[in-house]
Amino acid sequence: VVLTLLAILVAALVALAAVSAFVPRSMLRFATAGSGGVAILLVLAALVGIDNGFATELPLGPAGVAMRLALDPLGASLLLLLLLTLAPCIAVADSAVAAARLPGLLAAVVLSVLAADPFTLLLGLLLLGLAGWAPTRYAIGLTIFGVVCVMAALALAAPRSVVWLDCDFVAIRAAPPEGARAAGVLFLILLGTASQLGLPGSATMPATTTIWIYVLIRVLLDLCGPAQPLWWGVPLLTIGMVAAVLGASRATLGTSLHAVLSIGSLHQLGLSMIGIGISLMARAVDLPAVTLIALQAVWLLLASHILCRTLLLLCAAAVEAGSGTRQLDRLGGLIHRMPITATCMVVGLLGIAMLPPGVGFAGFWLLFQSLLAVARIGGFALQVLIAVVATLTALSIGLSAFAAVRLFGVAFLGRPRTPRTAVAEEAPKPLRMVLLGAAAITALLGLLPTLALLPVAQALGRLANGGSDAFGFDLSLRSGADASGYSPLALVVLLVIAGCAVFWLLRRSGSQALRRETTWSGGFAPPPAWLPFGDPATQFGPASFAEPLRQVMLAWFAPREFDAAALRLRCTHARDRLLHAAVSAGHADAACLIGAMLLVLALALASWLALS
Amino acid sequence: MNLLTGFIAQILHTVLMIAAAPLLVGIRRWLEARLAGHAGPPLLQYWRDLLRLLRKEAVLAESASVVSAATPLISAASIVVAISLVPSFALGMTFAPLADLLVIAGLFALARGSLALAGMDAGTASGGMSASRSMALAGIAEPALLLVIFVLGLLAGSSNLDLVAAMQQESTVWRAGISFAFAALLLIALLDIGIAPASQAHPTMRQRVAAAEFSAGDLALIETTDSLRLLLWFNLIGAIFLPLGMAPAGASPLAWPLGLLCWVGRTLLFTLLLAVLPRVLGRLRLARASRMAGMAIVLGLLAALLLFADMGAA
Repeated sequence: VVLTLLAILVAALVALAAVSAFVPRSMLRFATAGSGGVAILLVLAALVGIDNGFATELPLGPAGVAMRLALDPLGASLLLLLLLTLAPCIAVADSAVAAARLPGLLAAVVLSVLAADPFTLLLGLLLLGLAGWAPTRYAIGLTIFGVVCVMAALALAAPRSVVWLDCDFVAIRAAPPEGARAAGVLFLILLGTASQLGLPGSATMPATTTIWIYVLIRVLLDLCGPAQPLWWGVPLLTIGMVAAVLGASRATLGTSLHAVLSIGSLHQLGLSMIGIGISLMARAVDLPAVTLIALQAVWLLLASHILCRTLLLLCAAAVEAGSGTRQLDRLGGLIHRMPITATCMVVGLLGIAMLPPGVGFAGFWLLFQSLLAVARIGGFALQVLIAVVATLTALSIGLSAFAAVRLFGVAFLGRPRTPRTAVAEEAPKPLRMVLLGAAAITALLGLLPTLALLPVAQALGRLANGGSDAFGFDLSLRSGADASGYSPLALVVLLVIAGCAVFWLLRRSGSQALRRETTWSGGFAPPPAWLPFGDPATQFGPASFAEPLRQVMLAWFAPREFDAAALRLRCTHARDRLLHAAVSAGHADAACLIGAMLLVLALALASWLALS
Repeated sequence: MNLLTGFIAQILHTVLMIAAAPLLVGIRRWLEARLAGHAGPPLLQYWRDLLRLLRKEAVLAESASVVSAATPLISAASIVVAISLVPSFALGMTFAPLADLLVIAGLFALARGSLALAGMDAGTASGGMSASRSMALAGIAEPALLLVIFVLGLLAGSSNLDLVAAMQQESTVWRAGISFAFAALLLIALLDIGIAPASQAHPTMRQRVAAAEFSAGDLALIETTDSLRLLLWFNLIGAIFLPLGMAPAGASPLAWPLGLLCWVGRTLLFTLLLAVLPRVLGRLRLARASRMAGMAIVLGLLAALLLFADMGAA
């Protein structure tokens, strides 16, 4: 019943999307919000009610065949999370274009998660591409490419005896592809997913990217079955680590709020791909406990991606609405004008920078434990690959912390860089409530990460091929039954106690006198009347903040250029200097990228050879 | 009984560390002065400086926000928690189950990130520069640190510091991989502490933020945190690589004096090294620091590879 109702809802949403151009916006929003709310209730009901999941067939589709829908706890939990984060986007979507795209996006998300045959899945993904990305030629082309890849992969995966378009996922599960056909599936699905990551997007982007990772999990872990070789994890680890480092390092250079936040999502998606790769490897050598840890890490990383990224992009939208710009070099000092947005931003950044006690750190902690466990499988080449993955994962986390500090420091701290920013307005009340709610959920999951794992525990255990089925609520994450784990709640209690003790000591023994003075910027005079906030150019800006890191990277990857750049910095005019810096940045990026790719390819090849 | 001794050891350890940290800076300054041929300040001078700072009037920039008030507290709290997790003279303290190496690395990062935000709060050029430099160095030192943790975790089968220390105490062979990890961790610690002499006006980037943006009680707090951080590095390296004499988990308090003695000896040795090193190495510029971080990563990778080869051979 639930599935039929959801299907009707999807149909209604698609119809709404089709006529959205002719419907007044308030009505459109009302209808979308209503159906979104109904969908949330339905999925919640399903989540409470299901044990093994249920399936249904709809008499719709090409040439009279049926469309099959199915819902299992994993899909239901993901759907719930996605719908819950899309709801605030409905409430605050202010532009007509965004409002018109939302019903289609909702329908696409529901359809792709529910899909239980290739046709439905492809329909969902196509809809997702059309509704999710900005309608540029580049984005549409990429979407079509991705969908074609998935189509080919599913056609390969389907058993020969049935028409692939009409092949139930149950049939694929019963007779999973093997050997070269399975390798083809892996290759195609990876190609499709990789092409979709890191496209620029709005606040609805986490939903779109997450669906693609979900497709990856569904096809590789679920449909292709546990009897796949060990090397299957290698390409996933490779792509994952490159994506993680690339995403984090591009995020350190982004010039606008949205650029930093949307490219940074590549980092989290890369980490979750590493997790999927580890779980594939651990399952191939029949280590259900390790597989389960890796899958839990993937789930936590995905959850933190959806929650934190949506929260941050909504904050960015609030900043843009309040201060009129999203360019980092025009913002500054927003914490005085937008304290609530700033607070929510800190919570979200704590999550994506993977600092304790955020929810991202919990996912990273589990990922690291699974890396430790999988390094014991053996094979020197594989171990080398794991060590490289650990290094690059760590590098990406250091870089993302850098990017987070840069983003918050430049946009929210310091003094306003333009007059418009100086009179920025706090987000309107509904948006403020939404932001606070999302921040509260994020913080709660950071404190109790097991809360996020509870609804999917059984489904993940099944994917892990019978990991621990007795998964109860626990205050701390554990890597083994008797191992001591990571308990964020205890950590936060300790931090609060320590903070209060220090505060009390300072209060008791310190002097209470406080004087405010003009900002002393290395001996600058008090600002003249026409520059009420001092000269904004004397602050560190977005480009200057990223400069030391760029210098370090130059010194690492292009020492000769680094010296040349240092020479140039000393002797040339400011404008030429900028030009030179840009050019050398381009060179270093390309060189570093190519070098890393070559290294990674060589390693992947070596470990493949060693394993097979 | 075990529970009680663990709790007493925990309290004793935390109080001892907080009391010893400023004294350690005093000893370091005195040693540096002696090495330079001066008489050297009294050992308790640093304590007196801190107390005098507490009595002063605080000055804040007009553009400073609540971040300036909160971040010194956050960084102090995270370093205090971290130092209470790292064992000094006895294993098996009450917080031992929480003492995960990744969590300790995370607490370091939290403290560093919050101080970097403090540097950017007033919107001055020097504060922003120190913030960006310290974050960049941390970003590239992170892979080396996690590689060392990875190697130790592989050896001990867990990333819990207490288990790692216990494993190191019991192991009879000094594996080749461990010495590379040791070298890598030393480099990371040097990067984080900053190897300029402590008596210079503004030795590290972190302290430059403190001196430029903070005053009075907050400055005293940041300075104390810095001294705690120094001791934390000493304890961490000591617990991982030189856990000699440390009372094992569940041992009676009779084993504590020996542990304390060994801890004092270890800490004084590290202090002496830290006083001599700047004379040998000179100033740590950004380019050199980045090369050091690169070297630490390579050492960490080598440690992992040697360990794998060891595991394969065994």
